[in-house]
Amino acid sequence: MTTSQDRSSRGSSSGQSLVELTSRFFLGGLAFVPTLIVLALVGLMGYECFLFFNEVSFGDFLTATEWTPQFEENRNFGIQVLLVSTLIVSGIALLIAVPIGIVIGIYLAEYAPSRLRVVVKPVIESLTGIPTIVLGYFAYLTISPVLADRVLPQVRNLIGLFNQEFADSLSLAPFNGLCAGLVIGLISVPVVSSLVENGIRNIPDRLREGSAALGMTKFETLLHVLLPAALPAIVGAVILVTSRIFGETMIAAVAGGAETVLRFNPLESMSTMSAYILNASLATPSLDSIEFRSIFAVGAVLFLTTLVLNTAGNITEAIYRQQVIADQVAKVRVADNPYVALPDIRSLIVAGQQDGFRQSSAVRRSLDWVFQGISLISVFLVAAFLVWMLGDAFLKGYQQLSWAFLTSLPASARDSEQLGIAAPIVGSLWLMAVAFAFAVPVGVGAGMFLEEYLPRLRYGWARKVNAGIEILMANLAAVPSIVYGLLGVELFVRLLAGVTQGRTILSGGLTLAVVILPLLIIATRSALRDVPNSLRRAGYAVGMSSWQVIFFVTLPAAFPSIFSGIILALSTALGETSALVAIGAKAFVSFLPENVLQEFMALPVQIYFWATSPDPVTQKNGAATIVVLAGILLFLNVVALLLRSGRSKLSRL
Amino acid sequence: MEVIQDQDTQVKAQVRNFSFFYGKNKAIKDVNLQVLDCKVTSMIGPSGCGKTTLLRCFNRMHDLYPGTHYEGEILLESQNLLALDPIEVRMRIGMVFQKPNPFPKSIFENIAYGLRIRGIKDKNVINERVERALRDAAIWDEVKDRLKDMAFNLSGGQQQRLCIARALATDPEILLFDEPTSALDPIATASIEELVINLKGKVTILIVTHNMQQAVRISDYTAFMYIGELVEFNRTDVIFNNAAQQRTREYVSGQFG
Repeated sequence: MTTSQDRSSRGSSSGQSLVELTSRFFLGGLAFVPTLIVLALVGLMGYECFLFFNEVSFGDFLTATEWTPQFEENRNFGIQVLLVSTLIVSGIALLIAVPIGIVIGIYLAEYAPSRLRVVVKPVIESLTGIPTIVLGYFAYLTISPVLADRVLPQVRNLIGLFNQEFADSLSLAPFNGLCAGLVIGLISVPVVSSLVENGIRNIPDRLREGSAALGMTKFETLLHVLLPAALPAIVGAVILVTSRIFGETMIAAVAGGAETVLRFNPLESMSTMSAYILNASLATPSLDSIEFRSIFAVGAVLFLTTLVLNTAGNITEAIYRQQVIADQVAKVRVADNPYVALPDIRSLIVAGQQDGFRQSSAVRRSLDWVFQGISLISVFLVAAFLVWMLGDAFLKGYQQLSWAFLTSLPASARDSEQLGIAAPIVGSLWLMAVAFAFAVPVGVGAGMFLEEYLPRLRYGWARKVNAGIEILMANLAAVPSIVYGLLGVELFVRLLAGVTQGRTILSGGLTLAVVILPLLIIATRSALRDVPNSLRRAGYAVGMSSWQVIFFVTLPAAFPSIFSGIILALSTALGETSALVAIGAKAFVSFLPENVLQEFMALPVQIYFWATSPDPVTQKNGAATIVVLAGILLFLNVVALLLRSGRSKLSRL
Repeated sequence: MEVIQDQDTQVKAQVRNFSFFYGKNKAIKDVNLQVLDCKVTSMIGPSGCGKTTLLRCFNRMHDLYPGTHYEGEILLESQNLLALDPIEVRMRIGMVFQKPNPFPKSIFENIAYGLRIRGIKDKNVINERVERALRDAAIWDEVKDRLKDMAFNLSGGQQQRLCIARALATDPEILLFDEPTSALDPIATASIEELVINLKGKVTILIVTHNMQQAVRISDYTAFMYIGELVEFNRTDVIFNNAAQQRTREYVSGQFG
């Protein structure tokens, strides 16, 4: 009974399996790109470090107490200098970010009334959308003077009551580690708070009810039940934010200063590792000089530190999940006769506390109010910071805003009245086009492969590969962007100079593509993961093959959230400064770029150059550029937010 | 409503003209019910009849969520527990939930937690109480050598007995059970039922169950609820063999529900 229809259907199914194989191999190839990036990063960095340590002994690198790459004679490369500054600035930032972040996260998860929450959460999280270059200038131009002129005298008076001599010795340098640390800490609050909030929200309600049923107040439940249960999430958040803070570049470079001197006083100028990389790249040393190689040596230390932190985070979490909190357990004595009558438990309590339950529960409950008070103060602090910063930039810059400002070229680098930002706007557009042309197909394709194909490989070596890729992805996303900038310099500017023509839009765009690739992969994977399996099964049940299910069922369902991930990646790329500075974006070009092989300016880099200018009008132009960039980013974030709320409607279907 | 006459029992709690609202939705309508001291009272009825909702009023669980309110009275001995501080109420009335919900702590700490929060600091007292509670919940022999283990490592049935021990440790005046065996296999279910029977005479128990055979096996009194109303309340044998209401007879004979 073999009919032609049978044969044709068999034919089409073998055709399908060809498509199946092709799509599998193609997507698998895309998924291999992140591995290539890691190999390139490790290889190129290792090579430059090898050259560096040919000239500088490893012992000196660890023990020298000076960092003086610019000297001809008596050149010293003591990593301690940069490491100490990095630790001090990061320490200050952690002191701010961790407590405030945890308190706000808990507040949003457990206490905030839903009406307040829908306002507070986006406000806090919008801090992450502000380019760090903008925050760096705010720290340097606004916060630092306020600290020096208003806060420091008060502190001096206070300390003067005890020790006049010490009080007189206090002074705040215009660039200082304190300011950099404070601002890095404040902008890291949302990283901690959103992870902590998610961790606590994921705890099932039945634990809360179980605790409440025993007569616990909300705060007691939080302290004894919810926080222990959420500890993996909290530990993870702290480690993640530490590695972010370590790699934070623009704020540290702008507000912390560039002095590479071994110092322990955060009131003075101090250059962190990432700030050194940025400042040294700005000086564009020749590609074969020892200064250039020193950048890579520092980059390698930074890269390894973040790598170690991330791995430590993963391991802590894994160990914790297995055996969890070691409770202090009193040694239990087995009673000889377990059925001796025990006194009524209420008599024990009343004996201890005259007023009994009522009084004690009122006292216990007051902790709830204390905690809510602390939370509201924290929320207010962060929100006030945000409003102050945006208001400051707007007040300084709005007079400069005009159509001409947006559309005119800088007439010359010197005449600040004539400056317009057409060149950086067009430059940023070109960069985005290049970056997304590469990153979106690779990121989405790799995400699809990792989420839809790879999990099926559960046996033998494939399982190990799968686990390895998971770790790789988590680490790639945590690499500081300045390190990707170094990769860009070495790979795109130098090795591929024949293709990219050096410090061009193509090099910059490709570097940005590398920066946002992990974000896109992660966004794609989580979007696909949110698609209910029942949809996939429905696809298979009507006879679709794997690739058809992926392309016609899963991908369309996940599209809104993938798209929202793309927009968030776009806003990250638009605000990315340090990688572009490392690549060599120009402070001034007098033409609009017409193809990808030309030199370029970019909006955030423009802000970097203008806001440092001593000329007040140029500074105002810088502020106006901040307003333009912040406006674009705000718009993008609102779009992403709307898309995400659209998705939540979809998932309710 | 019928008043149950029984020689040797006292009324532990009394629900009077009681209604409960989720927002504007009246989920419990004008219920009157008495809970007798040291007896097991079960509440049965089809899904959505309000039996769990009513149970959760006894320890003011609904106060955890916004938009709910109570009308009428629930008297605990002579006090209206709706007028008390919910935390005070929950310190006197224990609860065991549908799914076992041990805390992410050791077996020992799960039980000791409630004692510590009541201000008991003496280690010997705590040790004594923990052991007694675990014995009363018939799980002592299984866990006595591994009190430091995480509670999550226990089986589902063991976890549920641990939760019962946790509630017993604080000497509750009433113990509420919300379908405590619905997530368990038949063997674990049998052990929980046996436990409830053994607790008779020591604690007042109010139990919500979906399983009519379970109500017959373990309870002294049964309340049948339907769409938020209490249809009938009587001794369990009367409800199942000789119910006054047509609807009760239909439900217990399996004609609907």
